[in-house]
Amino acid sequence: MHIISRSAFVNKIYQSLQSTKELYVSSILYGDEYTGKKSLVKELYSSSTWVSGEDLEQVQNALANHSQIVITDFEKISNIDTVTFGNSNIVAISNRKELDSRIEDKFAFIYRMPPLTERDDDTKLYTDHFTNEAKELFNINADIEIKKEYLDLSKNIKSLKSSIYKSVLLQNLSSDDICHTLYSYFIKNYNGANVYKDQLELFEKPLIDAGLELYKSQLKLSEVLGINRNTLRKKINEYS
Amino acid sequence: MNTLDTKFLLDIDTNPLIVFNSSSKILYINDSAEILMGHASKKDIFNLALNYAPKEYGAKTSKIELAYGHLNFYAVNVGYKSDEWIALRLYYRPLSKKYTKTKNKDQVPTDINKMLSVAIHQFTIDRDVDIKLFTDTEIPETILNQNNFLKLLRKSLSLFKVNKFLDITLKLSIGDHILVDNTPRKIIVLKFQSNGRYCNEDRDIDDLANELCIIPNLQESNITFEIPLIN
Repeated sequence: MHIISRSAFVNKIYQSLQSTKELYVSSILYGDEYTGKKSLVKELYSSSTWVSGEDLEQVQNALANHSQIVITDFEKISNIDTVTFGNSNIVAISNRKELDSRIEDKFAFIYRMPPLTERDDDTKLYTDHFTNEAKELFNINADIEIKKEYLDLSKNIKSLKSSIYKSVLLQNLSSDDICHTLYSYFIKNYNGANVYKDQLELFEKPLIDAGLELYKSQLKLSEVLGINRNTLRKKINEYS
Repeated sequence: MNTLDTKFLLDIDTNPLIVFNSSSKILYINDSAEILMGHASKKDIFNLALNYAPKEYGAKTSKIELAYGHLNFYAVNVGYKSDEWIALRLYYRPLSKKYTKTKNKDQVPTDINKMLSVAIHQFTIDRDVDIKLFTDTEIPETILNQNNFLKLLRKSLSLFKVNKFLDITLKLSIGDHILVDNTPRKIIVLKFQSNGRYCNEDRDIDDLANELCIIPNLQESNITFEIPLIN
């Protein structure tokens, strides 16, 4: 089995779909976008007929001529009453967060794919997977730890991947990369009459935040930075 | 006639016969009464015997309309010859429920045990219910619309979604039958039993069951389906 999931719940869905694969049964797997629904079904139904709910005629043709069908984007079927399931094995996939009773009544089995926020094991699994993938892509050998607060789960696997790639990349910028990035940023944001004061925060705030984390005391940090401690306190207050 | 095996004759009698002692313990029950007890409580049947018992030792037949699930009776006979036991016989009303099964290509030979197993698996994905399954694995395949039958199972199980336990029994009923297309069919009995249940899907369950030629019996804490064995 090649499933990218450690979640016991998701594996139970997989097993249930597997046990009904040879039956004349219709099932629907629904839930947020990018939760791995298609990947899960693909593991079992890669050789079946796949159609999209966007094309009703294609769906009806598949139902008339094939015995094992996967219907993606089921929520996009314009007139659900025109779709009838005969002696076929059907798995529908829907990106709806909730199903209405008309859709529920069509199916023998209904499965809800939980979002990543409810799947800690999978979030860890995907984080490790995408971190390694990003390290390979950017040719990074050093160990990288990505803080949980940097992980974006708002769009499940899609946003998680994007936040990890960004984090891996940003942790490995050289000073040239940073200069180049700031240059591009300043080119786009050179507006107003106090540009120097306005943009100084971009440099000073991360410098002070990192120093506070490393040295804990403002007194020590002022020594390391080589500035007066009153000046440091003023800047901390300004940026907090 | 060399020997008359009275017990055997009572055992196979199609009318239910039950003998209780004075504290309602069952001393004897025939095959047909076993089926009845799947639809009625022991207490109700014992009270029935007491209510229709003759005033003196002997036997009395009373005409009375009774219905337990789909089982209909038109009379009872209660007899006793001592204070130690009391016998109750119920007389079946001729079978009134007939089905016409519309033949279509969506009905296929189906292993009910397999259907039940996948339905239970699906039901327990996100629930921690203590399920005890008592099943006869030798039940032959019957012709059914699998999708609708699984829908019926899913909806039925969902009525027990908050229960801590659920007992499920699947067996072939002995000596009972349903008329489908004027042909008597053996009955597969599927029973879900717990200590209460939701009722919100009862109407859908009734409709789905009737569509499948299945007799539903929905009680306060149990659901029984009588499925005609068509092969």
